[in-house]
Amino acid sequence: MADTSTARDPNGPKPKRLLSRRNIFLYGTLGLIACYYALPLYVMIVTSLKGMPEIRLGNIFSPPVEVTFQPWVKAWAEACTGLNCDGLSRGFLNSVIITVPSVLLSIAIASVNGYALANWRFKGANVFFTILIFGAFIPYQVMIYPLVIILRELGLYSSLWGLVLVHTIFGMPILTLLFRNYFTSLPEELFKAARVDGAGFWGIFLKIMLPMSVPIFVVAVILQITGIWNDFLFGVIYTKPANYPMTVQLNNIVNSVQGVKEYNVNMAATIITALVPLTVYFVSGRLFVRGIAAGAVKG
Amino acid sequence: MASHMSADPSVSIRDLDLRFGSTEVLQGLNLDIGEGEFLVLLGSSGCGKSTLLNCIAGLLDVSAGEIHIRGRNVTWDEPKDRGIGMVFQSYALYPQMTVRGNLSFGLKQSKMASAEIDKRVARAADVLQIEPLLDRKPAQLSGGQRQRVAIGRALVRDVDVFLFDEPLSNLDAKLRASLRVEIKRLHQRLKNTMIYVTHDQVEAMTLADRIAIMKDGVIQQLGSPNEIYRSPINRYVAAFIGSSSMNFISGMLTADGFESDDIRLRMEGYAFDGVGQQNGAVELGVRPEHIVSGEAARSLPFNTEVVVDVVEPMGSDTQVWSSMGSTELRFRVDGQSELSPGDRIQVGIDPAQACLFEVTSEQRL
Repeated sequence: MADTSTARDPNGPKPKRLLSRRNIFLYGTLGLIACYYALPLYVMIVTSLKGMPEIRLGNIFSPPVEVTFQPWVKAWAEACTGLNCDGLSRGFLNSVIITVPSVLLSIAIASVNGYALANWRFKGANVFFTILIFGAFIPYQVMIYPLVIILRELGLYSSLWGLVLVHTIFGMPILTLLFRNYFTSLPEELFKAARVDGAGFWGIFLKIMLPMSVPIFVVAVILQITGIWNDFLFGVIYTKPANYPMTVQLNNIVNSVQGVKEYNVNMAATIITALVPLTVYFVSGRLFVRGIAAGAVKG
Repeated sequence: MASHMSADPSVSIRDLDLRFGSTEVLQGLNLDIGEGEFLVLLGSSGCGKSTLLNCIAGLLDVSAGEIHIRGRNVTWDEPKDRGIGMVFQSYALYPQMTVRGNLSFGLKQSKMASAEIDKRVARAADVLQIEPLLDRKPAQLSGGQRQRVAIGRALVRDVDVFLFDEPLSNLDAKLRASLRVEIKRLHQRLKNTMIYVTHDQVEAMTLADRIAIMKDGVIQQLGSPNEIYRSPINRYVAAFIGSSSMNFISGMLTADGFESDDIRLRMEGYAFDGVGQQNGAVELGVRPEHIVSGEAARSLPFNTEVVVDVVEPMGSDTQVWSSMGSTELRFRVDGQSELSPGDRIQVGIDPAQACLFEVTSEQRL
C-alpha cells in the first residue's frame, strides 16, 4: 500500500498548472495578435452603424450612441456610381453571374487536368506540367493586353462570358497543381485495380476518383469563389460598366470624389461586398483546412 | 512438378525488357508458367518482381519482348482483355462502394447482365465466406476481411490467371499465416494459374509449386521449393532462403576436400551438381538446421567442440550462436535442451548436406 501521508510520489497523469509561465506567454501572444487583426473589423462595423454627425466627432473606437442601419440600406440600394443610383445591388448580381460559371468551369477542367497528370503518364506530361506551373509564377499584369486582343478577336470583349473565360484560364495553374497533388496522394493501386476491372479514363475518374475527392473539391470551390469574387482588376478591364462586378462598384462608391465622404456608407458597402467570401470561410472552415492538408504540395 | 508443365504454358514471357529511362529493370527475361501452376516470384525489394507482375497484368508497357497468356499474344492488350485478376498489397478496394459494389464493379464495366453478376458475386462470396459482409463498406472491415474481398474481386472475373502482388504483407503475422493457407486451399480448389509476388520466403516455400528467385531484374533460380532449398544455384539464393540464414565459411577446395583455418572436411557424398568441381577459393555453406550437435556429431566426417555465445529459444527449437575460430556459426538444437552461454557443445557437419560456392562467381559447385 502506498503511503499517502508523505508528499505524493509521481503516479498517474502529471499535474499541470493552469497559469504556468508558458501558458501566460502562449495565450497572451495569441490574444494580442487576435486583437490586432480583429480591431479593423470592429472599427468598420461600429462606423457603419453610426450617423455622419457622430462620425465627425472623430472617436472611431467608441461604439455608436445611436444605432442606424441607414448606411447599409444606402450602400446596398441607393449609393450612386456614375449615372446609376442603385447601390451595390446591381454589382452583386453581376458578381454572382461571373463567379458561378467561372468556378464550375475552372474546377471541371482543372480536376480532369490534375487527374490526367497524376494517373495517366502520357508523353510530354512533364513538359506540360512544367509550363502550367510556370504560368502560376507569371504576374497577371503581363498578360492583360494580349488577353484584351484575344477577347476582341473572339468577340467576347466586355461581355460577362469573356470574363468567365479569363477567370478560368487564370485559375488553371494553381487548381491543376492542387488536383494533381491530391490525385497523386491517392493510392496508385486503386487506379490499377480499376484498370484491371476494365474502367477507362472517364470511368475511373467519375466512378472511382471523384467520390474520393470531396475535400479537395471543397478547397478548390473556396479558393475560386473567394478569388473570383474579390477580383477587381479583370472585372474593370474586361467588362463594361453595365457588367461591372461588385468589387468595381464598391471602388466606384468609395472613391467617388464628389460631395461628402460618407464613411459609414463606405464601411457598410465594404462589409457587404466581403460578406460572400466571409460566409464561405465560416461555413466551410474546417473542411478547408482538412482539404488543404490533403492536397498539400508533395512530389 | 511434371503435371504442371503441360505442352502449352498458361503464361509465357519471352525476352522481356523493361526500362525506365536509362534504368534497366528487367532484361531479357524468359519464363513459362504451366497451366494451373502456382508460381512465386521471390526477391528483396527493388528486384523487379512487382514490375514483372505489372507487365504481365498490362499495367506497365514493356520495352521489348512478348507476353503470351493462354497461347494468345497479349503484349499490347489492355489489362481487362488479358484474362487476369489481380490482388494488391493495399487491397485497393474502392472505399465508397460496398463489398457487393466492389465485387461487381468490373462486371458492370463489361456490361454483363445483372442476373449473371448476382450469380457470380454470390459464388465468390460463398467461396470466400464473405456473405455477411456484402453490404458493408471497406472501412468497416478488418484487414483480413478486406484482403478476402480483394481476392473475391479477382474471383468474380472468372479468369484463367490470378496475380497476387504481396497480398499478405499488410497483415499481422497470425492473420498472414491463416490467409496463406486459405490461398493455398483456394488454389487446390480452383486449379487456376497463380502468380504470386512476395519477399517472404516462408510464403514462397509454403505456397509455391515453383519459385523464381529474382535479383536485379534477373531470375536467379527457378525450381521447386525443395530444389531451391536443397541445392541453391548460387550464394545469393542460398542466403535468401532459410528462416535463419546459412552459415558461410571461407576456405579452399582441393582434391582432398574443403580446407580452412578451422575446418578440414572431405567432401564425401557431396553431389557437385552445380558447375562441377573447381579447386580454388570457395565458401562452404551450411544451414543451421543441418549442423548436428551433441553426441550424434561425433560420427560425422567433421566435428569439433564450440563454446555457446548466445542462445535464442524459439519454443520448438533453439538457435545457438557460437564461433569456430574466426567464423561465426549458428545452429539449431532441440527446444528442450538447456544450454546457456559459456557451455561447450560438440557440433558436426555432414558434407552431403552442405553447399560449396566458388568465391568470385558465387556459383554452386
